[in-house]
Amino acid sequence: MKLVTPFFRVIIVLIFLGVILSCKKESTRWETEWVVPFVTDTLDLYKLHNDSTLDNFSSSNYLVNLERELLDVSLNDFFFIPDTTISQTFSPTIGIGSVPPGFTFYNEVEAHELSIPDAQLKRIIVSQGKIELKVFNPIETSAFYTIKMPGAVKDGTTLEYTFFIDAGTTDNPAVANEEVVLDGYHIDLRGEDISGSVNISGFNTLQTSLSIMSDPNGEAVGISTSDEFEVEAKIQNLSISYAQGYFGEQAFSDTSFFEVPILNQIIAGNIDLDEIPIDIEISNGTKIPFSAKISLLENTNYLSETLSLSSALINSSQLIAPATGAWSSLNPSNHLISFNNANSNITNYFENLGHTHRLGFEVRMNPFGFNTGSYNEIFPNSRLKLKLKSQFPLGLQSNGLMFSDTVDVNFNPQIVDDLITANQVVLDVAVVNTFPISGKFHLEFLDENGTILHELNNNETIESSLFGTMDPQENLMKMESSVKVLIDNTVLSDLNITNRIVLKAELNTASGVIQSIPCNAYLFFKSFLKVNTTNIIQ
Amino acid sequence: MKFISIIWLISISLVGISQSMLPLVQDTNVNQLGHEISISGVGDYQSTSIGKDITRAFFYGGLIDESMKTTSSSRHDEINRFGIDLNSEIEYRNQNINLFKDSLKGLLLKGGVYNFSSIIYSKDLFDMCFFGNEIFTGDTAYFTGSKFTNMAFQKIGMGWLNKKTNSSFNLNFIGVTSYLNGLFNESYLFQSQNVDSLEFRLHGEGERANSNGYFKGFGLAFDMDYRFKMKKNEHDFVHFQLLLRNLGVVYLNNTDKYLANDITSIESLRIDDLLNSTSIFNNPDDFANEISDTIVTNGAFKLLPAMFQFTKLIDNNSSHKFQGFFGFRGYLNNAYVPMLFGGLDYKPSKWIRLGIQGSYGGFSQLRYGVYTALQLNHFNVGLASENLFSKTGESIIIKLLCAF
Repeated sequence: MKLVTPFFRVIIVLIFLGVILSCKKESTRWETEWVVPFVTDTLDLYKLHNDSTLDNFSSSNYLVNLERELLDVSLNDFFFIPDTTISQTFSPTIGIGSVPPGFTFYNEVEAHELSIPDAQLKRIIVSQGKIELKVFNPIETSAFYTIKMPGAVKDGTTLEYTFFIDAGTTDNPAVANEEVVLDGYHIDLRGEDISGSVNISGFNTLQTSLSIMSDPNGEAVGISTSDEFEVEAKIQNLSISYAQGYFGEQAFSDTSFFEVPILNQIIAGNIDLDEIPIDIEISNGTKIPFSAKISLLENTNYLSETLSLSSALINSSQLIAPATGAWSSLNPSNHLISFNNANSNITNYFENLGHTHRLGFEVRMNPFGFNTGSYNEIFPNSRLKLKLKSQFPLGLQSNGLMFSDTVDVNFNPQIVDDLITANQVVLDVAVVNTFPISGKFHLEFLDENGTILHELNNNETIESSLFGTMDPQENLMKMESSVKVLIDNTVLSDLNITNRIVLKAELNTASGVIQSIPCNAYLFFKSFLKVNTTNIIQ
Repeated sequence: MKFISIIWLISISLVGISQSMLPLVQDTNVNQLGHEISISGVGDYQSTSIGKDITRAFFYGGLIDESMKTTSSSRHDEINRFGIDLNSEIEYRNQNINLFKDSLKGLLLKGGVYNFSSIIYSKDLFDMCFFGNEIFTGDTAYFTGSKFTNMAFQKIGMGWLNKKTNSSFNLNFIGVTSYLNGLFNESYLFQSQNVDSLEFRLHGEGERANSNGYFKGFGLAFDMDYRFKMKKNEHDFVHFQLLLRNLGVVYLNNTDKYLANDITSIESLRIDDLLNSTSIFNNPDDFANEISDTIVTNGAFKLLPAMFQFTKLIDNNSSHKFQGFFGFRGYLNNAYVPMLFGGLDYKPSKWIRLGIQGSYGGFSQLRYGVYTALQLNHFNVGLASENLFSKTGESIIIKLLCAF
C-alpha cells in the first residue's frame, strides 16, 4: 500500500508553502504630511523709482521718466598727446681749455615741436604728467646742470630744475636720472619769434633751456671738442585739463549697444502700446562747434527680427553750437533730436519688444574747418554728452505675452530617493496681485538632451487685480489667488534624470485696452512644498 | 551563546513575544527528584498613550491609518511613556548537590536573553512622527525632555539556591548585543504661519554601541531571589519575595556619542536664488552635518536595566482556595514608574490555579491581567497576561517547568 499518494504530496507542499508565506511579515506603513518653505518674494518696480526711470508721485499711475546717458566724454578723450622725447646737446666747436671751478660755460634756449596730430595747441594746463631727465657729463669734474622750460609756469614761477652730476670722462660720461613732475603747470606752446617775444601765431612748441656750471668745489679741467654734454627729456603720460588752439576736424563715431535682458526671455505673444516719444539730447560743454547725427537706431527681438527706426532725422546732421562762458561760468549748449509718431515709427519700434538696441552716432568737431578761428577752448569741466530721454505713461496691452526662464537643477540621488518614497508633492502658491495683468505659469521638466519629460500646464490663473477689491490704505486694487501645482509620482520618479526645469509665465490684459500700471504695484507670492509621504518599515 | 539563542527562539515560538512574574508561588516542598528545568518567556509592551493597534502594526505589519493615529494622539498628555520588555530565561536547579558542603545549598545555572526599550516623549514628537510637520504650521513643536534607550543583552551564570526557602543568588556574565540611547534637551521645531521659515533647534545627544563583533560589550550582574516569611497566625505564614534581576554593569568597547547644539533655519528662497543658483537641490548633506556638531568615540560603562520586585507570594501549601497577593516592581530606568500590583489567586483543585490581578504604574497606568497554571507531577505550565484589556499595551508570560 502506497502511503504517500500524489494528492497527499500536494497537500504537504501547500501546507509547507502556507507556513512559509505566513511567516512573511507585512510592512508597517503610515502616511505623513510635510511642508517645506520654497519661494517667498515680491515682484515690484520699486528699484526703478528714481528721477531717471519711473515717476511714482506725479500721478496715480506710473509715468516713465527715462534718462540714460549714451556718451560722456571729456578733454582727455578728445586729445591724446603722445609721449615725446626731446634732446638738447652741447659740444664745443673749439677747445675751451681749462675751466676753473664754478664756471658756467653753457647757457642756451632751444625750441622743440610737440607732435600733436591735426591740432594746433597754443596753451595747455597739465593735469597730470612728468618729464624723465637723463643727463650725461663727459668732463672730469662734477657739475651742476640747470634745466628751464621758459613757457611753463606754475604759481607765477617758471619751471626750473638744477641737479648735481658726478665727474665722468669723454669716453665714459657720468649719467644722472631725474624726474620732473608737470602737474598743474600752464604751458605756453607758442614759442618765441626772432625778437625773443611771444610768437602769436606759433603752436605746439615747447622751449627748454640748459646751463652747465662746473663744481665750485671741484678742480679745473679742460674741455675739448670731443666732449658732448647732453640732456634727454622724455615727456610721458601727459594729460591736459585745459587747452586752447585749433583742435582740427576730428570726428567721433560709435555704435552703442544697450540691452533689456528680460525681453530676451519672451517666447510668444505681443503687446500694444500708446505713443512713446524719444528725445536724444546732445550737450556740448566745449567751446568747439560740432555737428552730430544719429546714424542708426534699431532693435532685435526674441524672434531675431530686427526693426530699424525709420525717420527723416536719421542720418541728418545737426549743428551743435559751442558752449558759452568760461571756467566756472561755462554754459553747455544743448540740442534735442526728437522722435515721435509724427516723424517716425517709434511706437512700432518699441512694440517689436527688442531685447538688444543699437544706436549709431557721429560727432564732428569744427565742421566748417579752420574758418571758425583758432580759439577752440576746452575747460576742465567741458564734456560732450549724448542722452536718451523719454516720458510717457506706463501702460500696455498684453496679448499672451509669455516669458520663459530655465533653471538648471541637479537632484542629488539621495534627495531623489527620498522624494520617490513621497506619494506626491504639491507646490502651494498664494499670491496677492496688484497689477492689472493676469498670469499663468507652466512647468517643463527636461532631461540632459533637452527632451521634455513632463509638462505641468493646467495650472490655475493668477488673476488680474481688476477682479479684486480696492485697498484704501495702499490705494491699490488687490486680487488674491491660490495656485496648487500637483507634482505626482510620475514626475518625481524621473527627477534623477531631470537636468532643467523651464518656467514659463504667460501674461494677459483685457483685450482692446491699454492698461495703465498703478504706482507702487506689486505681486507678492509665498509658496511652500507640501510633501505626502508613505513611511514604510519592512 | 548559541545555545541561549536557541532557547530564546524556542520561547519566542511559544509565546510570540515575551515578560515575567505571575503566578508567583512559594512552594516550600523540596523537590525530591533533585533536578528542575524551567523556561520562561515574557513579552510585554506598555504605553500611556500609544494604541496597541499602532504597536501591533510595528510588530506584525500593516497600515497605520488616520483613525489609529488620531485616536492615539488624542490620548497623549504633554509627557508620555512607552516601553517594551522582551526576555526569555532558562534555569536549571540541582538540589542533589550540596554546594559549599551545605546540605541546604543547591546549584543554580541560568541563561537569558533580554531586550529592554523605553521612551519618554512629548506629544509633539509623536505627532511629528506620525502626522508630519504640517499640523504645526504657525506653531512650535517641542521635543524637549524626550529620551529613549534600548539595550539588548544575553547572560549566562551560576549560583546557589536554598533548597528549603527557594532563595537564590546568581552571578552572571553579560554580553551586550545592542545599545542605543538618546536625549533631547532644549529642542523644538518652529514653523511660521506662512511656511516661509522653519527653525529647528536641537540640543541633545545620542549614543550607540559601534563595535564590529556580535557582542558590543561585556559585564557582570547578579540576580538575587530572597524569600522570607512572616507568621500570620498559629498555623499560617505569609511568604514574601525580594527579587533583584540583572543588577550590574557592562563595558561597551566602542560607543559613538553624537552631541548637537545647533539651530538650523530654513528660509524661503528669493526669486533670484531660484533662478541664479544651481545648488539648491544638491546639498542635502549640509543639514546632517549641521545638526551633529561633535562625535566622540570611546568606551563606556553602562548600567543594565535591572529589575527590582517585592511580592507577597502565594503559598502552594495553603489550605485556602483563595489567596491574595500584592507587591511592587521597578526598573533601573527613568521612563518606568514604580508599579504597584495586587490580585487574587484561586485554586479549585490541586492541579490548577487561576488568578486575576491589577496593576498601576510601569510604562502605562491601570492594567488588568489573568493567569492560569497547570500543575502536574513532573510538569508545570503557567500562562499569564498582566495586561489583558488595555488599549495601549499587551502582555504575555509563559513558564514551563519540568522536574526530573
